[in-house]
Amino acid sequence: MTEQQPPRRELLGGAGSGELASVTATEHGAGLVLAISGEVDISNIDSITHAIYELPNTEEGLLIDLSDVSYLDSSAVSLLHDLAMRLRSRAQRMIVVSPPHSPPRRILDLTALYVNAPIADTLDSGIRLLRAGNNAPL
Amino acid sequence: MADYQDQPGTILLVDDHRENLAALQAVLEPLREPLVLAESGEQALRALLHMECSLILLDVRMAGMDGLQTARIIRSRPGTSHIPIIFMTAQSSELDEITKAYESGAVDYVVKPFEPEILRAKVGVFVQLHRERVERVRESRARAEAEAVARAVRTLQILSDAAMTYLDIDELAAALVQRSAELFGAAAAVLLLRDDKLPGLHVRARAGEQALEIEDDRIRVGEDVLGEIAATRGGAILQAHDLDAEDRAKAGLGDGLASLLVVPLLSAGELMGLLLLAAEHENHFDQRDLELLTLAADRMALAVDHAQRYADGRLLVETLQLSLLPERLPLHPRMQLAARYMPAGLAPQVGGDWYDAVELDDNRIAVMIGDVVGHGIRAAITMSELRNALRAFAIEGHSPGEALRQLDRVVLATRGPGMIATLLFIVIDAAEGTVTLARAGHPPPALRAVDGSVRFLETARTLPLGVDPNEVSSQETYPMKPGETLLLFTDGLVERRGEPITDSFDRLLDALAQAPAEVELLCEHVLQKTGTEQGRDDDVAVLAVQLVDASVGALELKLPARAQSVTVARHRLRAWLEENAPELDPIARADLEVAWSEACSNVVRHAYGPAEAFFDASASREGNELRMTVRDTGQWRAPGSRSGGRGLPLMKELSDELVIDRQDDSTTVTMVRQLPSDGPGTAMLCP
Repeated sequence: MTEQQPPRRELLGGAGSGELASVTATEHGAGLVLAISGEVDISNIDSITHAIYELPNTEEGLLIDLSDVSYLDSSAVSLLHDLAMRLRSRAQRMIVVSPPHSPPRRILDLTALYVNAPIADTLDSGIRLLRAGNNAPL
Repeated sequence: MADYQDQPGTILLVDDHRENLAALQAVLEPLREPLVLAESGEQALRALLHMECSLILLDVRMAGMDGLQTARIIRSRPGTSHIPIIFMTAQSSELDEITKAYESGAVDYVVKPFEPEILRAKVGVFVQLHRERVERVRESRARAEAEAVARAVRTLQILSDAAMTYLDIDELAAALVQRSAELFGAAAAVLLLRDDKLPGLHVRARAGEQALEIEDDRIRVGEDVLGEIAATRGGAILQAHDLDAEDRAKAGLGDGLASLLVVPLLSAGELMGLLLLAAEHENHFDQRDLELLTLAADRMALAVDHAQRYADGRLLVETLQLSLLPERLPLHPRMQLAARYMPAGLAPQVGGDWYDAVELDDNRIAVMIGDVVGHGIRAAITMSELRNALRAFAIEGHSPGEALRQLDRVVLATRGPGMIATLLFIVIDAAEGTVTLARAGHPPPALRAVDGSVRFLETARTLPLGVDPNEVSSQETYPMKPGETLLLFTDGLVERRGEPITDSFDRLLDALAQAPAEVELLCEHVLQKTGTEQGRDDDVAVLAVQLVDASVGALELKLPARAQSVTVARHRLRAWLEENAPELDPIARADLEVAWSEACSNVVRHAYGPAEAFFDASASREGNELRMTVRDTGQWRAPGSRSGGRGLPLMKELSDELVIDRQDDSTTVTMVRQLPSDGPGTAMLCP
């Protein structure tokens, strides 16, 4: 049996769209992975929020991969906090991936995102956390 | 003494002997009039407070307050003075007593023990008199009512006519406010309407000789005296002397205005606006005026709602056009772009003007502007096809001349001759400092040099697209230096009826020469100075491209207060920091970008009016000190819910010094950051 590539959906942006950021969704066994890339600020936070909240909320867990985000500010931080709190109230898990020593990670740390959602350094460790979370509470 | 509420024919019987009351009752029963019994003068007076009485039978000699005293009090009260009183006296009464009885207000008297027939007859006469009187009052009330109804119908008719006549919201508002002022004899009138984009109610039209000044031309629902009335959704009459000085000012009652009539405009329960009528005299307006204007306001609200929906329909078409224009222009660290599109006149239709800009690589962008002949959906579709084809040619790397040749072929092949479109296609290379252009029947772009001199960049004159398959488009390359600005436009900007086109081109060059350096402001200035604001027959598009001069000492930006400007400001800061603070490590540079963006975002979040407001942002370096300021002309407020209150702490955290200077008319946020003094390093990581 050949390994199947998980289905990947573009929610926002993409090549040639002129968007500041793009968002893609990929199904993993343990939950949904949302990958954001580009820059997130007040000018595109509404369309990003919209794209994310449009998703059917059926997964056990959500991983937000910010590895390819080059810039984010308080608009993004607020979205992440809101999302984390909303998911927690429904007993769903949210993990954020952001590489250490990157500018976005610095902003996430300064605004204490870890209070609401665990932050993993890499996508792999994020996915491991997501899987583990299905059995054990963090 | 139970139930004597409002029985118009009621007869009040007053005697301190119950057996006398019982006898009277028996005598008067056959009249079939309601009877009320009182055993003392005091009881009688109390009873009269609660009922309408046709006649009072009053015993003269009573314990406590006697009949004469009781009668005098009844006569002295406005509510009872008209009620006839028949005194009942004993057989032995002196003439003197009877005289006194008449003096205290009796209309007749009967002597006890009375003859039942005579008493019934007398009482019957007074009851009949009372009925006639009531009837007369009714008639005169009905007449007044009829007159009022006629006036109301007339008033409503006049206001409804206005409501039906005007579809344009501003014309409608002007007509409604003018006619209301005339009909109600108001010295001043103001109509405020809601606005989809802005909170509160806003002055839309005024009338009258006097000025009714509302602060900022705006009422916040629920705030101040008028806002509180608006919140109740009911009308009100205010007298200036009942208000304190502050409320008088808030209600717009300046010198010479003594009373105010306020009614809300409600449509399907929704508050559409507020109509204010002011008069020079106190008590000029009465309850009836309030009721009538409230009734009229219902019709006005419907008309306003209708007109706004109509305007929205037009907005929809304009939105279609705008959706065919790029949502955001490329953000290029070495080039600054701004564009404006203005739809034609009043008719709801899509114009054929369009523009686009595509980033080709780190140094080059392609900009294009065009005009498809005709209006409406067809023109818009053609425009969208041209735009997509041209984008593809540009990204594939075709030169402007080559791209136009290809496009000409596409147009002829797919549409055949007859579809006319003009086009200007330009590639700007910031590294080479060149601008390469080709055009198909489109006006050439204008270039403003750093010294302020202006000229058109000509190419060989060519035909529009889709006219001649043998047409060969030529391209030209000109130098373009940092700080220079290129302006692309459509002919709507220069065509004016009854004027030689050369005059219009001269006016455009003049406008460009005098325009502010900042590209957003430059576009505004050019549109304004070429008279594009009013009475356009054609739609207009302009696009400005400026080569950024990052070597110039300080960064000075003036940007419209909208979300996209925050991105522009950040990218400009990034380029400026690379040039002016190259020793910064990536984290420190990102810190400054975030602090700067947060300050700009806060201005944008609280901007009042999306297109009109601008803000200033500047950055400068003084030795090892970096100073960034963001200044706006609105009231600065602490970052609100959209940033989750995290903007301000971030700004504090990411700068060494944060000062927020709030003045009455502006707010300046200054952030200072010290650079490492001993050359490039990583000392900036944690401030």
